[in-house]
Amino acid sequence: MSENIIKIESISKNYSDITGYKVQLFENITFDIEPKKITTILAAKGRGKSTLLKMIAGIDDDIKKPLRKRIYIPSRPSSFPWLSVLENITFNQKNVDETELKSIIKLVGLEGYEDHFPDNGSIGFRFRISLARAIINKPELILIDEAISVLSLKRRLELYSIMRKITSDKGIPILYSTSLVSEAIRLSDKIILIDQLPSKVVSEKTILIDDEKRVDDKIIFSISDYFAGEEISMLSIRFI
Amino acid sequence: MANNNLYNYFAYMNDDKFILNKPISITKISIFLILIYIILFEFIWVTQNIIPKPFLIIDSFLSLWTEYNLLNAFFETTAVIFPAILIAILALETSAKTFLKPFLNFSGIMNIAVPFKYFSFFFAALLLNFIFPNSLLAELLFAFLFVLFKLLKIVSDATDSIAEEYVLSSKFLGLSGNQMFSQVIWKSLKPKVYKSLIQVHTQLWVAVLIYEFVGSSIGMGNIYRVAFNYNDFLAIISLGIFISLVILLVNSILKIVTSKLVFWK
Repeated sequence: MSENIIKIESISKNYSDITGYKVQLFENITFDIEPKKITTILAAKGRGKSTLLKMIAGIDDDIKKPLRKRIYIPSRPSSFPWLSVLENITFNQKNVDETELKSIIKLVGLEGYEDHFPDNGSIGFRFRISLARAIINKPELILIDEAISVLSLKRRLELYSIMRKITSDKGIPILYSTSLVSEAIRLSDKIILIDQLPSKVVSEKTILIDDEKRVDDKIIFSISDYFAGEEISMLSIRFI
Repeated sequence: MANNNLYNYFAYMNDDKFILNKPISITKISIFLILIYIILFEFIWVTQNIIPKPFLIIDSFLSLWTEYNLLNAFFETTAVIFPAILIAILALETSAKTFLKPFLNFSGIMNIAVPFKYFSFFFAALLLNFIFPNSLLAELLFAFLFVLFKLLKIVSDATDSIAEEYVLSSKFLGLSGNQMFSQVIWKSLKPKVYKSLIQVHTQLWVAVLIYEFVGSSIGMGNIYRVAFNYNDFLAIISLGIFISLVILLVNSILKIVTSKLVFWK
């Protein structure tokens, strides 16, 4: 459980393509991740969201490793199909608290499925396993890389609700990345809009909506309520 | 899964409707061809002398047991084939990390084996037969190395397809390098390795039969050589049918066993 603001400071990255041409991917990306909140990085495809998340998670040698554990959930299902749901959740864990384990399984909606083996095709099911596996590790931050954007709205709404419960009940902040504006609005407490090349933070939005409204599929959120004219034109070209 | 099944069916249009037909099984095709063979060469075209008649083959098959001592030869050959596969699999299972590390750290390391591509296993069989004549142990070594190299090639090719998400996740879940090799990387490669066993088993039969044919005085390959020396065409055909049936049976068992061992694929 993290009660402190996690500061992401001055992330920059350069790389050389196969011809040797140097490209700057990020320029001085700085923002805060608040405790018990979902922060979303909203950017078009190809803006380096995955790379940025991996860097923040601590996989990149260029930046300082975080002091506490951060769990990164990749965009493709990462639960191991050769292990049962329970074995996946408790993977590499010693002395698991049974009560805590049960509460996590209940929270992600996997109660009764403990002995099942994750089917390769069920992205939502495998995402729940990844979430449970992340929570049991008690990280200071869970980073989710556009893992459920391909699911139907109904399935996504269920998972948004679970993610919001993780932040409120377990107190673990989530950093989510997406290129879907509606997903960012429904899910997040704060949106970090990233654009341009090299990618940089264009704006930060705080989203204040009741949890019930966020997962109501009848409500259509108006983009203009959250983004300024210039940003909307940018979003409507790239994201809608 | 449903989509994959669809691809296994032959679909065609008929009166604006899609009709999905199940593919005809190999067993049905085999039975059909055997029936055609029996009817054609036993009852209809009895005057021809080129293709052996079914009754003669059955007769010759019985003589394989009495005159060629097929039972002994069968045990000698299978005493090489099955232990060789088993030992190679055990070697891979117990030393997965040792085998995997060079493949992952030195991309294209299997290229060092390229010159041996032109050094057929036939020459290896000749050499071993020459150095260790009539040695069951040398034959076992030959078969073991044959299976091991085949499986290592499959492992080497499969390392390109290791799912990055599994490696990333295990890294974030705090697995050490050694744990990652045994608990994640090897596990994700296992389906490809085990599924290839059927192919490797079939190839091993050919390799071992050649090994026994070119120099050994034991095994079913030796029966082939004796039959060739006696110009016994019927024995060659009936032995071929027997070996095919054994390969088919073992492949079916391997299919069931591998589907249990790598149940997640």
